[in-house]
Amino acid sequence: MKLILRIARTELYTLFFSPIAWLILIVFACQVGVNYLEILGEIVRIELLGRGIKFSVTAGLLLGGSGLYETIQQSLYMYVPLLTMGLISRELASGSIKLLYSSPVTTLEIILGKYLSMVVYSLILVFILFLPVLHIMFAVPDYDIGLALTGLLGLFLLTCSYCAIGLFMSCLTSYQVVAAVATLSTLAFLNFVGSIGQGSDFFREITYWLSISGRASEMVGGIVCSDDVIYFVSVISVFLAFASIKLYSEKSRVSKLMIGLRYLTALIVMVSVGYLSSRPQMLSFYDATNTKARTLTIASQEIINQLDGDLTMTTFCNVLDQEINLDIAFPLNIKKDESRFKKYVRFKPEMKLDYIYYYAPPVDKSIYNRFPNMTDKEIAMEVADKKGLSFKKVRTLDEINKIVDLKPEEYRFVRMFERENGKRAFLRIYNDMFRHPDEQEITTTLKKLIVEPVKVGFLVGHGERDLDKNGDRDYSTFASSLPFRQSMINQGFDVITINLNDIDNIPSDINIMLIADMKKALNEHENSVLDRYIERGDNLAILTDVGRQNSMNPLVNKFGINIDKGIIAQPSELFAGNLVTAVSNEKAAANFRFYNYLLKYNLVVPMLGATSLSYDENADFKYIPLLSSPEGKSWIEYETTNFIEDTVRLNPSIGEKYGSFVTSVSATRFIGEKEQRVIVLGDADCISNSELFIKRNGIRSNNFSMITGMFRWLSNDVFPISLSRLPNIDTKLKVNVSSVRNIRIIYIYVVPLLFALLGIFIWWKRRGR
Amino acid sequence: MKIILRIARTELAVLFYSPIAWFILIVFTFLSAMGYVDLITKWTTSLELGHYANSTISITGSIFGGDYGYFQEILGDLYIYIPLLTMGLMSREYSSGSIKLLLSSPITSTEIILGKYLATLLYSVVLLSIPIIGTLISGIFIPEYDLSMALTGLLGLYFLSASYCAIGLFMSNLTSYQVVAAIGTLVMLAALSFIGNIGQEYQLIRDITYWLSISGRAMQMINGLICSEDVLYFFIIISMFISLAIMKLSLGRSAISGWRAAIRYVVVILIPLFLGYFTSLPSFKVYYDSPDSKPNTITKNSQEILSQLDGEIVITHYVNLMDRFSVNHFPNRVKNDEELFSSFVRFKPDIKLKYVYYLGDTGEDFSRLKGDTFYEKAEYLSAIYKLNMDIFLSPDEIAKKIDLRGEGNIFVRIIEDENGNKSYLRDFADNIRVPTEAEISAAFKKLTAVIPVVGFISGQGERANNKYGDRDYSSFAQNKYFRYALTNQGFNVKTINLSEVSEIPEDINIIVIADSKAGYSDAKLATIDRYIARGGNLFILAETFRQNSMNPLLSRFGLKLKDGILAQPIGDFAPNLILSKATEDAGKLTFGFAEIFQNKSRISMPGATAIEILSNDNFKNKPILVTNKKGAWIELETTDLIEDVVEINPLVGELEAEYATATSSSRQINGKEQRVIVVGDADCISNKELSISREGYKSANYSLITESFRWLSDGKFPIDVRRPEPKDNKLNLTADLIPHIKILFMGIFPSIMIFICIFIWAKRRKN
Repeated sequence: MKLILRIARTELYTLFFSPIAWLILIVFACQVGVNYLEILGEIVRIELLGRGIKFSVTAGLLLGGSGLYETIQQSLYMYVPLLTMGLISRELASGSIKLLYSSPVTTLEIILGKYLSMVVYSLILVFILFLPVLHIMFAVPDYDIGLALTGLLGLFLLTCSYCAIGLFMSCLTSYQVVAAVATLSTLAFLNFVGSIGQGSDFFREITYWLSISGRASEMVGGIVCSDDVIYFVSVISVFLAFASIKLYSEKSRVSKLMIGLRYLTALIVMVSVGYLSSRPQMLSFYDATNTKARTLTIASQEIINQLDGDLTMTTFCNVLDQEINLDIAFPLNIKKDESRFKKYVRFKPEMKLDYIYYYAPPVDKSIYNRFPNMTDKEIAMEVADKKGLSFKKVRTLDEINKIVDLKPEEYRFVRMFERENGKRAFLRIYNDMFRHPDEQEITTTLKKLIVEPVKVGFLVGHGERDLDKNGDRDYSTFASSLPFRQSMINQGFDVITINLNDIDNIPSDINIMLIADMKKALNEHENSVLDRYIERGDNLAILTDVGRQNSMNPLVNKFGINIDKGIIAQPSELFAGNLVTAVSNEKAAANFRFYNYLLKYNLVVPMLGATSLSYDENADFKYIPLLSSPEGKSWIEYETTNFIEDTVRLNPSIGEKYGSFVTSVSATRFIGEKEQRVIVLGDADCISNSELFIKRNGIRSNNFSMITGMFRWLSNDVFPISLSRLPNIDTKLKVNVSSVRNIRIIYIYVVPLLFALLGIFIWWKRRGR
Repeated sequence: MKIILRIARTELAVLFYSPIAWFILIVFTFLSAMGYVDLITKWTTSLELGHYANSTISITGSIFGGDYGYFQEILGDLYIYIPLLTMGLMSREYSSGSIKLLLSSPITSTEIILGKYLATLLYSVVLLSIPIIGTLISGIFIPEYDLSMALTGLLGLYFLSASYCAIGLFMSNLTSYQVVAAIGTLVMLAALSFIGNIGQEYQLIRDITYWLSISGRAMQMINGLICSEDVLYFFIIISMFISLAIMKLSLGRSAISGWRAAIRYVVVILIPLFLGYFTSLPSFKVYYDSPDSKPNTITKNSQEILSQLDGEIVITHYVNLMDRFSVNHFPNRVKNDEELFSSFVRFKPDIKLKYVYYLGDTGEDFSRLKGDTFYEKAEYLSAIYKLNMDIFLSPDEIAKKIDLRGEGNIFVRIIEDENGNKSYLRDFADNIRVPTEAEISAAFKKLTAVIPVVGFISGQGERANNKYGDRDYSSFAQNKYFRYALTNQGFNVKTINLSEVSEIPEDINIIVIADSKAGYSDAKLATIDRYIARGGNLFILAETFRQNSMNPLLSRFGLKLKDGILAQPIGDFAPNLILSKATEDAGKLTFGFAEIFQNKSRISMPGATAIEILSNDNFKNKPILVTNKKGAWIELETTDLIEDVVEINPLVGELEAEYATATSSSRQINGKEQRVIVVGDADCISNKELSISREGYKSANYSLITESFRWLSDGKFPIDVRRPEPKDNKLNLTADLIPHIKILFMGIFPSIMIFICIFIWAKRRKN
């Protein structure tokens, strides 16, 4: 041990008596300073402009595309080879290695001693990185120390691994430059190796594990995972072992075979340790961030805890689908795809991820333009061949149908979760910017495996808005759209149509009925079926519309609500006279999150053609008016029905007068223990396909959240799930323009200059001797 | 000269007798071969999967050029490997002491440095052997291969590596530690990349530092554009570092006072800066766009527009500190603005950019900013952006200069020629933000051409060109921050109230009559008649229930709105949503209509009437948009197609047929062609309809607007900036050939290197 320390000390002396070590420190300090000040300047600007910071400032400064740790992580590989290239090859070139060989020092001691000096040097580099963290501690109240320190640990381990590789390369040649280039190439190889052999199920695991690319990212992000730490430790050990085997083979006469065996043993031990330690069952981790930002939310964890037994996620990939979807699940990208579920596998290690390829007529027909006059099978063969997938793995639709019927999924890209008890739920991808499901959607799908499904029945048979159709007035977008992330079927609900004529009782597993814009009234049979549903205390959403007084009043009257005569008019210069910009009120805000949000941010719910609702305070329901037309701008128009062709006028002589009219109301009552919840809206268009995403100048709205809020309430908060995280606390930055200037001087000029002065001082002192 | 060659030869011999040069060569060859094979494989797969079948991309450009192309990838590797190569050039001599031998020999410093530099230049050629081979043989698989483009890129690559070598040589001359030389070179390269960001706030410093920046210098050449400025940059930088190296070496020899030496250094650094400054002046620049399709050059149409402009053109940027759109045009971003116009300046060097900085209220809520008064808040902002408050004109001062209230004090450029003609050029509220060639050319053209003025008739309940209502037309007509709005595409837009004028103003060439509820009195009709008689063009949009109010007008052209409402139930959509398609005749109007026809796009019309052509005597009328032949009829019984049951009833005369939903009319009058487009629905181009997207068909509503106005303005606006299609859009490779290429590049070529290396090593050992 003493010898090791002595070798390390000698090596450090040599390093610090030459300008190389100092120059690297100076350049590194400069880079750290420049990078830190750049990101600091950006965040200071956001803070000073007063737009309000919601993200964690610690994470903002250190992570992200231009954060300090990220940029340093990208450039470390340039520094290390220059530092390590001389370690042994210098001795080899000058011949001093022979002196070492003839001394009683063992090769292992030489290697460990030299490596120790590199570890010390790496610590100095980490110290330089710590200087900005020091500033964060002063400038950011409630800074995230866990995040900052695990990041440093990650970068330290990364540097140490680079050093071990560099040390080994330096053993191989007496030319320093060759050692440097060899180190660079090895690093490049280790970066790239993760993409080799990804087509094969066996090699994939090993090469992916070998890859150093992004290895430190998890730790830099604030989470320490056992597999990452073991990876670094095994890389370091194996390269140190290699180095000492190499030196040993030079020193003593051992047969080439023995040497080869030793190398092989070292490699096999490392790969097997690494491989075993990366099995999901072996993983453990520690999330060091303040808000546990890198881990699943508590709500998700609770749901996973209830999932006992095996769990399989099977990804079904239609080879005829768009190429961008194939690229998610084709063999080359499977590891990347698996990492999307890493957070879940940590809590459910026995979760199995399967991939099944098949071909079936796709939704997007563009592939037929690209391969004209070919059968589906021929196209599938062609595509599989070109994309490196063996056609043997591609199944026919018949084979798939034996597993599951994917027709309702339109043979789009879909994943199926299946529990041991046979319960299944689908997880999709979406046509938005992010495409992949987020924790919200994945946890929703998992929750569907443990709770009774929440089924929403859409009444049909009276000209209602359709849950499946894409028409402007229909409801497919929010109800049943497969590729729309926020649609009900993607947020946990099952939606089905109900025709009351065909049944005597609404199935008992339906707890929410949606009745939208009936053109005809219910007949006697239907009425009695619905009455039984209402009596059993289940929930309803009822959307009426203009001109539906006759057909729908008998229905809403059951809840003590009445659709008033006439149409609400709200003339404005720009928009049609029947566009009501409904507003919320204090009482609704006190009871519902969405209406609080409306009130707080001055949002409105635009309703194109709305009726006024009144309710009987004496009925056994409790009412909360949710939305009403704006006071003083609106009245109930009795004369005009066509607001485009005719002009609207307030005609007091027939009783038209300004007022605020209720356009949405909630009604609740208790039937036994059970609370029955009903929402009635005076307009059925506000959640229709065409209205949902219209942007109108000067009208700020978010009708979509209204739907989400409505169904969360109607499903007694079962779906959509709400995953709340702890809010970030380090959202302030105590700096101003002038203090940034001082920090700039210190970090970019003073610190590197100190290193330079120290270097010159040591050089001068040594010269003095 | 002989001595230089001899030194170069000796240096090369030293290099190639040591394993260093070989090792770098082999690694680099392998890396660059892998990059090439990867790209070729990627493109082969893509093309074999049938992508890009109808598109018009240049395969040469896609493989070699661009940010993700082959040459750019090589650049990243050069950056690391060249310093490792050059680090020993001189410092080896210093540390071994052999420099003293050299210095005491009759060889001059110049000869030493030039000799060594020549050696690195030759070595660079070998280093780049795979890119060179790749460039030369790609023609085998790319039909109509754009060799000139690839060669230009290769030249850029070589210039850049030559510059890296010169810098590396200079650094190696400074120290006897090789590693220090390598790090020094890397630092110098990093500094030369970074320097372009320094001092961007100040005019003179900005020009110098921006010119000095090496970052992205080879990019134009990689994309096929040779600019004299770039070539001269490389020559100047190389000469500067070589001269510095020579001076450093010769100063070691002779005893010159430090003072004089310093002067020499300063001169050697200052001369290049001067040269650089002058060669980057627009009027000194010469360009050559090597690819056949000239992708780096503005289109012929734009060039034509520029050639019409005479005299100096001034583009004044009005930058308001209080406006968040102006941030991109603060003093430190001037170079970005210059880049934006550089492809225009190339053809018209006397385009000058000017800036006016001012303070103006944009109506934004600034309560979040520190300070009580407007001025204090402005001061606070200027401190955050580190801007000098003095450059900003106060609201009063700017008001004396120009009235920008029409622009809401939001960023705008005003282009002005010597005659005082002006046009506005804005930034837009989309992802690209800055104007592209189409908008810039339109703004330039506005200075010289007779601008088509579009008059929107108002007063009879027509759709308004300046209102944001669902049914109105502000989006396409004059939303200033919408790129494709008429006003940003070269048109001027006016509102004409027929009650106020008895004559449609002379300058109006196109009038829009959209959905007149009330119809026109005889006097107003007479006004329109006089406009028609003088040969003006019209864009008329009818609507359901407008038969009475609009048929009198349409009769002028031999057209008539049929009674009833069109019905065409398709898929999930309401029966009154008519998805019209373009006719072949429409394709003859403009190229854009031809695209609608070819792509089978649809124009959605919620509630449309059919147009009947009564006669072709006066005007030649042709249907340009029609319904389907099957499943479309005119509903005569029902008026509310949503509430009531919609069924075809032949008994009342409802017939299934192909109905015209838009027509074009033209005639020769006063020596020119008069053009009229009539559409049976006014909603299809309204604000609401333009913002709706429906699933199940390709919508071309916006093209209907652009193409109609293109035809109505005789093709003048919007500017046609289509480019000729590149011919090299195929790749004659199949997947089964890829392994052969892989073996050749990643196997054979590196093996040849290894073989030569061993051969030389063995031969030398024998000696």
